[in-house]
Amino acid sequence: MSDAPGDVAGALLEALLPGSGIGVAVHDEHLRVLVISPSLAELSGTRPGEQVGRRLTEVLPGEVGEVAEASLRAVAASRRPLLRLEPAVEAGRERGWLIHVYPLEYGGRELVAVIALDVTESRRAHEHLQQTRERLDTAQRMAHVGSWTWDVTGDRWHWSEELFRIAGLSPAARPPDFRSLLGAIPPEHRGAFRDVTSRALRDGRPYEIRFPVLLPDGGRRILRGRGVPVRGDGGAIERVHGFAQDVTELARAESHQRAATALGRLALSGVTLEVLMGEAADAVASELGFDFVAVVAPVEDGAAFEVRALSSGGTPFAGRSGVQIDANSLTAEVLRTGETLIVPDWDREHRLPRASMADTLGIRSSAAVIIGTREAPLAVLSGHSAAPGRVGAEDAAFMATVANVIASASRRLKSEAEVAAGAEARGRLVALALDAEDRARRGISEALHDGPLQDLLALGHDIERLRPAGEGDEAHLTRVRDGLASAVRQIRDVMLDLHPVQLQVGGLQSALQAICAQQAAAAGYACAVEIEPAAAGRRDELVMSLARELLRNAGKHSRGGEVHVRVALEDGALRLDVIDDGVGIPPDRLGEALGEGHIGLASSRERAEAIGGSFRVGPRDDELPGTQAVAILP
Amino acid sequence: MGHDPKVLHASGTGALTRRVYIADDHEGYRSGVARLVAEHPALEVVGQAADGEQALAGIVECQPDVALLDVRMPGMNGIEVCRRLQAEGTAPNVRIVLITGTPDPVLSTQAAEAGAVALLGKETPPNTIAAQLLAAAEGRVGWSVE
Repeated sequence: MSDAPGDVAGALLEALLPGSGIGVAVHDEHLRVLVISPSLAELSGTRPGEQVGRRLTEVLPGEVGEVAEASLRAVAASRRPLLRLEPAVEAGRERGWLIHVYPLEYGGRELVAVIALDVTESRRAHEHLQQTRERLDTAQRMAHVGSWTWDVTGDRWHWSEELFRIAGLSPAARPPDFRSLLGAIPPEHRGAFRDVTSRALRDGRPYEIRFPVLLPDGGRRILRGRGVPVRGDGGAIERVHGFAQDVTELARAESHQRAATALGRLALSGVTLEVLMGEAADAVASELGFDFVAVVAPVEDGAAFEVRALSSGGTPFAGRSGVQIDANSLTAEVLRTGETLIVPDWDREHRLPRASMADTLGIRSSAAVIIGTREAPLAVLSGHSAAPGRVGAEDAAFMATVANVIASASRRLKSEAEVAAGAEARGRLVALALDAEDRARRGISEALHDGPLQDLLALGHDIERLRPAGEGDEAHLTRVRDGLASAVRQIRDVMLDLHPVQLQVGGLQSALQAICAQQAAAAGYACAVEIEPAAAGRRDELVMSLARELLRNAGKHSRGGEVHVRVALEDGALRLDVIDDGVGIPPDRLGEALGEGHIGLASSRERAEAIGGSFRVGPRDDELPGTQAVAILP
Repeated sequence: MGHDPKVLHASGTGALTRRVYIADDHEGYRSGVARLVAEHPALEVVGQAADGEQALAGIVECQPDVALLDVRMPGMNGIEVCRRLQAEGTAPNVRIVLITGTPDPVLSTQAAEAGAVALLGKETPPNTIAAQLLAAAEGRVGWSVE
């Protein structure tokens, strides 16, 4: 190497001052420094003049010098370039140098050249970018969200790593094109996916769609995708950015919730516990993909068990309720402990004795939850799969929800039965009390009829036989006759109030006519009675009692001119209508009257309801002015 | 209680008397009516009864001209006795007059439908009752309510 070029090179190298970011050096055949720029000398912590003519092992400390010179030696020997990244610490700051060592032929000599690029900033930028990518990837992985970009014109896709994972593909694989993507979607959902995508490409609006995808391993996931079309300079849509989220778990949870809600609604609809249990077994089998679901209840104080419900289809026990099963079972353990039990694999289960049905049905994994409480167990809900490890904690959680629905329904049905029994008992008591009252009224009425009334009437005849003996006797006799007649009338009125004896002889028509005439005369209204012949003789006593009360009310409150009493058969039940043309009854008046202690109408309602009938008082059905009372008596 | 089949069909004066059967469960009222009938020159009591079954049998046996039946009696009531006699035709010439302590229009209708010729209230004066019985026995009464 001549001095002149070296001087030129040296002058050139001088221009590469520290901080320029570029360092250059040339080594001779003995690896000694021929020339070195100040910037590269700076990398090794020396001045340029100190390194010229010396080997790196002589100017660089220890291992650093050895490694650097080894690189030079390797290039000198192999005559092949070497590229390495050299970290360095400068004033406490880590820096990065990209060092390119390469063989240099110059003037017939085999030299070694070194070019060093300060890549501290670009390295930091790269690291920052890498960190950002990693953070994004971590976030995507945690959220099960993958991002993508679709170059529409070239049908090229870029997928994030998480999107590959979501799709069950290796991140090293190439993203599928649109056709391949469609192929991963079950056929019945492809049309919707294609339609949504086409529409977005037409109108350029962001879109969202939920769709299932089939994984290469045979699995299935539910994805929620969102795309945002991006137009190019020409206005055409060139790309679509978007993300896809794995909502399989969310969809499953939503489905579970819907199933539990549907069961809850069914429970409230009044179905029997047996029906509810059957539906629950089917819901658990369907939602969790179990092969076999059973509801098994203890009988005979827990000494035996009975199948109360089974999921439909595909099981040896299908349709066979009431099968006695082993006490030595998962069910027995759940009843004993009250705890939820999961058996991931019966072949590896050591805590519980292997149930015989596990062999019979080929069950490998099971879960069971109690319905009710350990103290008051109603049954055990168990789910089974032929696949090992198929049943897990999430499945058991859904089963517990279903068990709660059944337990709540059971409690509600029990409460309703108790309330119904109470109401029935109360109804019986009311009926007994009212019957007793009716008997008493009838007894008094008959006693009045057969005794005092007949006596007075006979006495009347005797008086007729008397002849006046002296002056004034005729007037006395007249007063006696009048008194007797008045007494007879009063007794008859009392009898009608208590119990019309006409009922025994003349029947309902006669008795109702008599009461109607009595009340009409007292209140000053006209009364008409209409009785369907077939309606008489069924509940005459009760009809009389209700009619008497209603006619009395009409007289007191209606201020009407006409009252119409009608007794007829309607849908197999007796219907009594008492209709007036008076002022009507305000909507709240009936409740107020009851609150004020007017028990006549309340008593009427009690009497009707006591036999399973109904009673109402309100505006007339024909919407004319007045009031209509209707009693339906089965 | 009952009837005497040997009673005469003619009064002591030789005039024709009408034979009356009386049924009422109230002894006081029945005896009062029986007395007024007995005192009537054209009427005679041929039998009495205190309930429906007894009355039905007695009327068939006595074949009176007229029977005065209380509507409300134990067992078979007066209207039912009337229906039975009509239906069975066992006393084709007897005329039935019903009497009640609780008269009402429906009862009147039912009495007429059963074949009675009159329905009287029990407060009807004795003379009127006697006159009604005589008129009924002689076939002079269509349907009447007193």
